[in-house]
Amino acid sequence: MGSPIELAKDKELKEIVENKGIEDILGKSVPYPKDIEIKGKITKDIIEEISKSKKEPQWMLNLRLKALELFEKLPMPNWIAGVESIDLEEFAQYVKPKVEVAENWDQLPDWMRDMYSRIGLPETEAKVLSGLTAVFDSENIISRLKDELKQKNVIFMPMDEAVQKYPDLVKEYFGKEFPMADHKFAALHYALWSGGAFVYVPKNTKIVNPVEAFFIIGGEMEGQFEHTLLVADDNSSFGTSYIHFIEGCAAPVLRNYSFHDGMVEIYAGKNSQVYFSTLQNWSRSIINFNNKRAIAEENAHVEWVEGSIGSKMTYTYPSTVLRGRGASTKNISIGISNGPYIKDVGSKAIHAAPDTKSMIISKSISSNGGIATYRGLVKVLKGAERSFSHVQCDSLILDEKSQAYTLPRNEVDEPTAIVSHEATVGRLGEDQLFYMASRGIREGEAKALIVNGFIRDVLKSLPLETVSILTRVIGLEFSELGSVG
Amino acid sequence: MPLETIDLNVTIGDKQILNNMTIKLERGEVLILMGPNGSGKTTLAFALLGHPKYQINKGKIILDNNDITDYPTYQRALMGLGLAFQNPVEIPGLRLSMLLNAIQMKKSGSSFDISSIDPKLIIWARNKARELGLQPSFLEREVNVGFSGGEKKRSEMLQILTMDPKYIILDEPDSGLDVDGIKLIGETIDSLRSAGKGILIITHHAEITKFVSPDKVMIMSKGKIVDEGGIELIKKVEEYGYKDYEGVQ
Amino acid sequence: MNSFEINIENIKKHKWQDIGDSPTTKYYTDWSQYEKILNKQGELKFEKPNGKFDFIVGPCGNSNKAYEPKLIKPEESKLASYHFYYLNEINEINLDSGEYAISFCNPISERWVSQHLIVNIKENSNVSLLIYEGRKSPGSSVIEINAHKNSKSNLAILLDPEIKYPTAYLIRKAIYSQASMNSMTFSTPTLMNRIEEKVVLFDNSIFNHKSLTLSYKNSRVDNIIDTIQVGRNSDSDVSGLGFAFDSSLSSVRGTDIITYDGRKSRSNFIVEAIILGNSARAYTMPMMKIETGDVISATHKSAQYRVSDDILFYLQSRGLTYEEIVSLLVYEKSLSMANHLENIKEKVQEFIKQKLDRIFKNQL
Repeated sequence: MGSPIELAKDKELKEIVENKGIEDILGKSVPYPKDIEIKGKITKDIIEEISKSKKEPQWMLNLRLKALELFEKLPMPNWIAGVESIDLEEFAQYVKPKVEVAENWDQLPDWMRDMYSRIGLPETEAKVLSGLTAVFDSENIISRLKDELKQKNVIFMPMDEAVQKYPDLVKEYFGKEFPMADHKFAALHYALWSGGAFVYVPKNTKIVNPVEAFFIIGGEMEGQFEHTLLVADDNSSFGTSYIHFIEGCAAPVLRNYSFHDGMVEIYAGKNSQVYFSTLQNWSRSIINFNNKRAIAEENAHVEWVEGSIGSKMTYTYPSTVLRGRGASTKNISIGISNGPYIKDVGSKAIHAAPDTKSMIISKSISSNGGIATYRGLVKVLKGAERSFSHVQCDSLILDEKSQAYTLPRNEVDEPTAIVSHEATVGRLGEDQLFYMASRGIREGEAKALIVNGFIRDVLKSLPLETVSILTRVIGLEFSELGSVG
Repeated sequence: MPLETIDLNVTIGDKQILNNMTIKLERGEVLILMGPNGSGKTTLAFALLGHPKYQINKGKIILDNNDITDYPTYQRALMGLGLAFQNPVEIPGLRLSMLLNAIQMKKSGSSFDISSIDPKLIIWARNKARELGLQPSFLEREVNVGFSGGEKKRSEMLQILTMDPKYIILDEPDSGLDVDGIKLIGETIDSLRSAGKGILIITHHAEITKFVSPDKVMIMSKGKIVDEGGIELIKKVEEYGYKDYEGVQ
Repeated sequence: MNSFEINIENIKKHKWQDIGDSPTTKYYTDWSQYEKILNKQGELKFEKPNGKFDFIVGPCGNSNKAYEPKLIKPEESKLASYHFYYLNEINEINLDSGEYAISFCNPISERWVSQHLIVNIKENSNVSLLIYEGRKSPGSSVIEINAHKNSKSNLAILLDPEIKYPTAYLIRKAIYSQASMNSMTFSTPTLMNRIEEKVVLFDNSIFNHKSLTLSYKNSRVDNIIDTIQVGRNSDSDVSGLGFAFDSSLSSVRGTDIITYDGRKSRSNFIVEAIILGNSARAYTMPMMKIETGDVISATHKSAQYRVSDDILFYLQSRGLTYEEIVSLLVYEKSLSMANHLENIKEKVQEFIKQKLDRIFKNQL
């Protein structure tokens, strides 16, 4: 056997022997999370000012102040990679009821205006898309739906308004599903929240058509720290699609801020059904935190659908706590990281009662140097007898530069539970590309086709409108147009 | 000394499946039980073996004059009641030879010792496997994992032969088998009858009666016996189906 | 003591782990159990292991001394630092083709004892190797295996520490270019038994590994298997299985990494934890970090479950009681984990059977 020096001459062993050890090789290939630098400060005064301008009751102000305290105490979450600095002072400017975006057409970046003209959009429509005008002008749809909801005694209004009009109802549920101490940015959210929607569906009420509900929520969802609270009382059902761009063309949406920290809380009462879907295609400058949590009571069913396509980095982990016997949750997530961006998405299911079920399907796609990460947790507490959970997470890596990470955790404290998880990583082969090219299909189009095939089984369980939008977005994303910005 | 159920009512959750079901199976007798899907045939088989999901809220099961209604499953098996499953579950990691070894150990009453493998049993099992149309190497496969329909039936029969029960319930022993397979199973059943076993065959197409002639045929519908007779009943059902029995109380 | 010049005051200030293991369970390894041992003093004896061995490692044995660890460094973790702090010597054994049995001396003590073995499997050789360790003291053992170019090896690491002492096993393997290895790691439990196995695969290497851990009474086992494929066309098949009886905890986890240099590689990673005790707990965390799209395939699976009701009913209808069914399935599944070990399969199965007998024949 050679001495360490002789072995070192062998190219392959060099790294190990040169004082590195395996751990260092391990270390090299894992991006070490850096500490995020926080610039500026948010003072109590700013919070008090916000609360005063919204005419909030004392309990809401107290909640904000407590959250600010927590924000300062809590450590930086160390599972975040790639976020380098956050400017808190920048945030304070945007905490207003309506977020201002670019004032006029000329303020839009060249590439965006270019894109709209290439797609063949007239300037007026493009303005709507870019958020220049009020997002939803479809008055007749809104008023028709508003009538139906009013008849059924459904409360559906901006969150700020609800705090004033229905303080007791809001107080009962606000902040109860997603604890502010959960992580630093949840606390920040609670301190600065503004905008969002409040929906209360009374007992035994069923709202059948999910997509229409979106138009009303959509406008309210524009915000940096929007807080949406959806309460489905016993035996009710409600679904909403929160789509972050408009039906018709899925161009990226521009925002002037660079850090988004929104939250969705859902309370699903006994036997209720709630369906919440988000499709996001934000511009590439944005760091997107999305805090989503649902509590499901006895026999309730909560379904999350998450499509993450845009933004520089997205961190979102819709979670459901199955608190009542027989509660169930389904979590579908599609994340596309096309370009040097990060999608760190996942899900959490906590089984805290017997006979609960969770089903999680995640499809991640990375290409052009993107990183797609699935981060999940399935926790079955003792006593959650006969619980069942299955997680399927598949990744598609479209080229040799891109990466996929799958980081699931399964913790089972209950002997009668069955918990399983499967993951595959697939790739786009050169032979597939060549075959398509020989049929005249260009690389971008081929990628879009393959991605659509990859997510096909998931598309089956989504409403038609969502599917058609998603398909168009994917097409755009992988075409030449999509890869800019 | 028969195997019988007396006025048996079996429910699964809230749903009632067997209604005042009374049947009797004598030793040395082959009884064919037919009925449309959903009539409760497999429920009867599982209830006889004491499957925990099926609740008995009325009636009794008697085996050789012992009331076994409340006995645990393994005890019923050791008392001489054997079931060949229609869709036997896969058991990854457990080799068929080890299962047969364990069955034999329990039957002989010796203490349960995993490490003790009886070479005589293995030789016997290999021969029996061959007789049933299975390669001896089949014994090293994991129980039911990747078995074809025919292999499952043969493997169930092999286990039954190892158990050597007094009463045997066969749930669709002929489905998935070709003519040669059915002939083989039928002939095996015939010789089991000659050996004094009481055999209940659950089937819905009775191909097997070409190779073993039943002593009695019973028709079941909606959880109870609606007709009894000989082979002529089979012909009647083959021609007219079960519609005549739908209204029978 | 401290032959490796560890600055212990510095080490004490560090955390055992930089990042928590999960949002709900900070650490799967209960580091406090090791903390309790660190300052213990007391007698130390070494006993010769029972059986015939080609090499015995330690003060009661006869293997060569080495000066430097190759695949593990003190700086990599607090645990590694403590290992080297309490370590007196590293033993190194070079093997050419053949079948070998190696055992550590058994330390008997209440205080932390470190042991360290490096095995080099020569280029182009064909080696079968069993490594036994049965310590009666707390502490850490490092086993480094270098499977050099084009070697073929069957390797079993069989660990049977005394249940009342916290233990840590740090296993490091390097499978060099065109080498192939069938390996198995088996361990009985202790109060806190951390088995941390890291494997690097170079180009065209093949690694087929099974890890089996038992956890019973109130023991806690944290079995981590990390594979890093840094060479092209490497092939990795790793399975981890943990049984959790009584009120014990079994965690089976690891990360499978295919780096950019590891293009055109293939990997499959399965972890299972079977809960057999009413207060037992099982945690699995099969992670994958695939840093290039140019892979042949990468899959992983995990499952936690008890014996299913369908299987229970089926086997009960064959006359078996619940306890008999559990013992039959545990034995069979455990023994089948050694099927890939070719000529050392029987010896390994014999060892496993003996340890399982403790559970099922009430010898605990």
